[in-house]
Amino acid sequence: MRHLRLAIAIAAAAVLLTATAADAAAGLTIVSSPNPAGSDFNELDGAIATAPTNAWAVGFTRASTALAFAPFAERWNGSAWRIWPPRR
Amino acid sequence: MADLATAPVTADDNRLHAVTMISANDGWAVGESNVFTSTGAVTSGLIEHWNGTAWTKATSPSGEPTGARLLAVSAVSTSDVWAVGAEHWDGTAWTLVPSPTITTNNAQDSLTGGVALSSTDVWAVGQTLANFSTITTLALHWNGTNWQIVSSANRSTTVNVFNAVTGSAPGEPLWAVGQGGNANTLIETTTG
Repeated sequence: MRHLRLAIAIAAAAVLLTATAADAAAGLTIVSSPNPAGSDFNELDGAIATAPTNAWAVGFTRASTALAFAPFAERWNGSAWRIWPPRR
Repeated sequence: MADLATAPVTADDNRLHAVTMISANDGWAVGESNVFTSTGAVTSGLIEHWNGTAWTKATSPSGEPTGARLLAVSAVSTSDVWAVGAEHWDGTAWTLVPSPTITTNNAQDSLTGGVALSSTDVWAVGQTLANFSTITTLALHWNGTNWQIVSSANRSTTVNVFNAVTGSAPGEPLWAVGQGGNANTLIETTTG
């Protein structure tokens, strides 16, 4: 019975903590995001996440030897962001 | 052959920047209207609604600040839609919702992306000019009651911007993307 009460108290505390966390959103932290090889300008302008293990970001890049920008995308596979399609 | 839907406007120069669809007959597009005057262009927000057949111009909220541009739109439901920066559709009317004042310099803040994951979990991202010297990332969160600044990181000592934000659902990874210095992509994450 004592264990049950303790378990209920812990569960209630967890609910309270969760509610607090949802109210004050956690800060954003940097994750590793690749730049296309040989580039000197990169920008991501759009993003869409369809699932925890699938998200896309799109933008444009400029090769250090070029004047014009080229489009590129990177994809989150659940563990890392990678340029897509991958270089062969 | 696709229909070419004409979006109605009255100002001199009109631009739509973003669109979202809740269903086939309920969509919103947002942007800006510019009226040319002898002293220059006067910019205000532009909101249009798709009813499945046509686009009609919606009434923008009263009290909208001069120079307002709407750069993103996201919907929780047919009666809970957000336009960034910080205008809300409750199913009946668009209203302004106050966003926090940034103390370092609130003259050059801008919000460029937004996503509404639920009625109590909405995000807006952009940039601010910190201490009049460094452009830094800016993230705001709506908790159902008010907008609050959420801490975010910077990769460059000069220019850091968020251009878009996305998340698949509340409680799942939230992603803000942009640029950290000219040469580098920037992606940051938290839990939506």
